[in-house]
Amino acid sequence: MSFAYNAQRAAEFQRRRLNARAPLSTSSRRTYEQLRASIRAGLTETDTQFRELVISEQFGASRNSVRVALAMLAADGLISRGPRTGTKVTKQIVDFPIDRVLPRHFAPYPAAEKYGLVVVDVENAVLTTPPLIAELLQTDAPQIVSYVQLAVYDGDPLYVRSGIAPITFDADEYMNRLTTSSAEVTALMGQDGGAGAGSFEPEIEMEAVFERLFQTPFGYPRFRVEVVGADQNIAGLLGIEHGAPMLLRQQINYDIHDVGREFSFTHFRGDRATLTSHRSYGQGTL
Amino acid sequence: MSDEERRQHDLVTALAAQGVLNVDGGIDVEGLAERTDSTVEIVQNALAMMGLDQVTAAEHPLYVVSVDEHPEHQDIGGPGETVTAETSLLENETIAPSPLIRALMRMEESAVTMMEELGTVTGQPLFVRVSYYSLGDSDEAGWRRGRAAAESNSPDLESVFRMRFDTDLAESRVSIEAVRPDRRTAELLRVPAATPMVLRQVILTDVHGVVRELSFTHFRADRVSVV
Repeated sequence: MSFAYNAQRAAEFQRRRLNARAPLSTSSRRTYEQLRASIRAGLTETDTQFRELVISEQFGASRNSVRVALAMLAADGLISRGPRTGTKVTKQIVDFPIDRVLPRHFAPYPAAEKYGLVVVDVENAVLTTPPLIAELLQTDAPQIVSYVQLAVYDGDPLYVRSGIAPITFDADEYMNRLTTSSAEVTALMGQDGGAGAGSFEPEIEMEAVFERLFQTPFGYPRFRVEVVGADQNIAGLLGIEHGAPMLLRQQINYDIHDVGREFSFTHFRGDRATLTSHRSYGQGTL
Repeated sequence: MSDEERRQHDLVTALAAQGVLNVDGGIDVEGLAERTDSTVEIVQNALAMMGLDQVTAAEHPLYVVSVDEHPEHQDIGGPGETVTAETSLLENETIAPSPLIRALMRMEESAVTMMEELGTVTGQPLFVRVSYYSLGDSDEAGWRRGRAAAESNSPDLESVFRMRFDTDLAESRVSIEAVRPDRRTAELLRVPAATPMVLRQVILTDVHGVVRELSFTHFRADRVSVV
């Protein structure tokens, strides 16, 4: 017997000892966290069957805590449970960069998905600038554009984005830029405007659209994320129940001169969306 | 709620989060309505939805948590105040890693350390966090170093990481979700069942590509905003 073989046996024995002797976790929260993260990480694809006994063994969790966790995932709408169909993953969770406004046509999973994210305008209006907005964005623009957009993915509404932007030029000109800038940048990036994967990067498109809209280069975003319950109106727009958890992201986009150009609020469905961040530190390379 | 009312509501929420609602210890509803070109009724409705109709913003603080730092390692108070969370250990176990833990931590180890902690501010529960570490990172010396870092003045994430793991931080990967807690978590954090919560997953990786920490934190959504 080789040393490596003995080492493998020892490790396996240790693992069995741990599984055999360690008391099962009764924390449904921990089981739920890991199952949800598994769905988000793509470790469990749509139509994957969840079996309580298997999950109990794999996660070292009691059957009861697994049951509770699966009920929570079902309430999230991520899995379906039925006597004949079993417990299956039915929906994927879509990752959104925490500080980016995505293009109007975007494929979150280019290699796998047939349908992409499509953003449609719900409402646009030109209003007199409220004093507090003038103060927050440090603007003396007499008017603001106020807009509401709805994003749909795989047939489901995923978020509602409302925002304001002070306009320092003709309102009609701004609305015209709003309509054409996205299409211009899309054409430049070579995307066909449908649900195709394309080779663009959403970061680049956001900055390019920003520059076309405001005639100044994009500087940086400032964001703040909270979790709130859906009010009745937004619940109706997004097809979720009143009070359902939602991610609310407030964001101000600044130009390179530190002028706040756009102030937006995005309500994301909590059952289908995640906000993600990736930060690199020091001179670390991986 | 109409779209107009929602815009006002969102704006009021933003202002509350930034601590700009207070005037001499109270909320100037009329002034706020005037400054947002709104009506007193809309502002009052927005404040009511946030639970601010009977108390001032000062009594209902929103703590500001950095997207990838732990609240006990940073000042989470609003403008003009310094607040740091405290943690107490609930559980500390050696467990067999699940497939998810193996995948996210990129490990093949047969056992990991799981620690569950309750975070409080001024005695009030703010979050509950479960963290996973390789057994090699769970020695007492490492924990002492981590404590020392947390207790130093204004420790940043890189400093805390270096002191804790004796190597440099290369990247953090974070996911933030809106979820409902189970009954036990709701009781632990003293919120009504089915109250929305912030669920944050953080993966910290060192300069050698080794994942050092995987954590899941449930925050009270009525007390926390993430920046």
